[in-house]
Amino acid sequence: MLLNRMCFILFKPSQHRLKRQFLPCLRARKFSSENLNNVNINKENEENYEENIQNKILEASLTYVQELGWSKAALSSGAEQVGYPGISHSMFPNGGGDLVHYFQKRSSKRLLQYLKELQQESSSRPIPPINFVEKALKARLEMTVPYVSKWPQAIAIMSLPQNVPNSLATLLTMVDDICYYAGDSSVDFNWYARRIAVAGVYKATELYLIQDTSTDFKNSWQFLNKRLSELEQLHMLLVKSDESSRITKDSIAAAFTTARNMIGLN
Amino acid sequence: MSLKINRTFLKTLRGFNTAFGRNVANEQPAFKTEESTDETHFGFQKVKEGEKEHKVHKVFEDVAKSYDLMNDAMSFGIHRIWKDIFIHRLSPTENTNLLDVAGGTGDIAFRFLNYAQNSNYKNCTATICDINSAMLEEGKKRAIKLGYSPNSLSWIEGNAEKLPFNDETFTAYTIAFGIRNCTHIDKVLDEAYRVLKPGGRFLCLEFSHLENSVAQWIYDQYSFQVIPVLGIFIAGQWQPYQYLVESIRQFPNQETFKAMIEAAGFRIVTYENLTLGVVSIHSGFKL
Repeated sequence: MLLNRMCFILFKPSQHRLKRQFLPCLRARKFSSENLNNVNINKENEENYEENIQNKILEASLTYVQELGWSKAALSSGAEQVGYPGISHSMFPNGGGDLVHYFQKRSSKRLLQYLKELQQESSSRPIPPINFVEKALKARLEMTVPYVSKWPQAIAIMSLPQNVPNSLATLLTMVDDICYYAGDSSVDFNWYARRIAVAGVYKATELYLIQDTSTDFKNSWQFLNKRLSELEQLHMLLVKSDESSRITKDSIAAAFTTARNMIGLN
Repeated sequence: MSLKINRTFLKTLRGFNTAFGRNVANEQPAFKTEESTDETHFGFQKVKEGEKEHKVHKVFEDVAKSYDLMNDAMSFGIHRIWKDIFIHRLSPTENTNLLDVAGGTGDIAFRFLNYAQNSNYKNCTATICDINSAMLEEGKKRAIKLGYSPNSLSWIEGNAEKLPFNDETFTAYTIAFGIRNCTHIDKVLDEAYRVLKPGGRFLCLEFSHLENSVAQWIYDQYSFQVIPVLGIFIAGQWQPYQYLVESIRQFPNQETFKAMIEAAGFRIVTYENLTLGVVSIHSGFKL
C-alpha cells in the first residue's frame, strides 16, 4: 500500500497513466530486445565505419605534419598512406583545422589514461595536487614536442574564428580532467578559478615551448614549475586575504553595533 | 536598344568559342534508353521514357549556338562563379584522375586543370564524357586553342547511365548541370559509384530549390516570365527555355537528392547551397 502510494507520488498521475498505456509496448519490445540489440549494433557499426576511416586517415596524416605542416597536403598524403586517393582529404572540409582538432582530442584521450595511472599511483603514495598538475601538464606538453616546429601554425589555425569553439572545448575538457584527477572537488567559484588558472599556465608554457631552444626543453619545464609555484603563492595569498578581510569586516560591523548601542538606537 | 546590343554580342560570340557558357549545351541526356512504356517528365509534360532523350537532344540542338550568351544573360554571369566554387570544393590534389560527365565543352575540366596547374600538382588528368559528339568536338577545339596538353585530357563519347569505363577507374567524378536531363538519375548515380575508386569523391553541381519561400517566388517569376522572353530575344526560341525552367522544378530538392546519393552507396553525403539554393553542390564519398 505504502509502496503504491510512493509510486503514485514519484510518477505524477499523468506519467503514471502514460506508463500504463505504453506498458504493452514496452513488453513487446522486451521480447524482441535481442533483435533490437542487433539492429543497434549494426547501426553503431554503420556510424563508426565512416568515423573509423576518417580517424585512420587522420592518424596517418599526423606522420606527415613535421614535413608538410597542418595542411591539406598532410591529409592527402595520410589518405594515400592508408590506401585512399589523395582527393579523399576533402572529407575534412576544415582541412588543417580538423587535423589539429584530431590531434588535440587524441592527446586528451592519452592524457586521461596517464591521469588515471597517476591517480592510482598517488593513492598508494600521495602526490601533492600542485605536483600532480605539474606532472600532468608536462605529460601533455610532451605530446606536442614532436610537432613543435609546426606548432605555431597549429596555434594560428586554432585561433581562426571557425576553429575557436572546438579548440576552447578541448582545452577546457583537458584542464577539467587534470583538476578532477588532481583532487579538486570544489563546488564554488574556485571550480572556475582553478580551471582557468591551469589553462592559463598550460597556454603560457605552450607559447614558451615553441621558442625554447634548450636541450630537452629544460627551460620550458622550469618555466612551467615557476608558473605553478606562483599560482600556488597567489592562491595562498587569496586565501589569506580572504581571512583577513573577513576579520576586518567583522570588526567594522562590531564597531558599528557598539556605536549604535552607545547612541541608544538599538 | 538592348536588343541591338544583344545581337552584336551574339555575332561576336558566334565567331569564336569562349571558354565558358556552353554548359547548358552539355546537358545532353547521356544515354540511350530502351523503348519502354514507363512515363517520365519532360519539363512539366509527361512523355514516354524513350522519348525524353530525343526531346532533350532536340532542345539542345536548337539552342546550342547561343548557349554561351544565354548562360551569361540568364545568370548574370554568376554561373562562372558557381563553377569556380565547384572546383574549389572538389579541391583536387596530386594524382587526381577526374571523370567529368556531361562535360562536353570542357568547362569543368579546364577549370580543374587550371587549379592543378596553379597549385603545382602533378599527374592530374581529366576524362570528359559526353553523349553528344558535336559537343566533344567543340571541347577538343577549345582545348587546343587554350593550349592544354593533350596528355592530361581525354574525350570519350558515352552514356552517363552506362559509362564505357572499368570499375574503380577514377578518383573523382563530377557532373555539372547534367544530371537533371538524365532519364534515370539512380542509374547515373550507380554508375558513378561503380567507376570510382574507394575513397573517390562524387561531386554534383545542379539547379536546386530555394529555402526561402519569398526568394523562391521571386526566382519563379524571373524564371517563368523573364527567361523565356530572354530566349526569344537572344536565341530566337521560347520552347527550349521553357523546358529549362520547368526541368529545374522537376528535379528533386536538396534533401531528396541527398537521400538518392546515399541510396547509391555513397557516404559522408553533404550538400551546400549557392545563391540561396538556386544551385547546390552535392558531395559524397565511396568508402
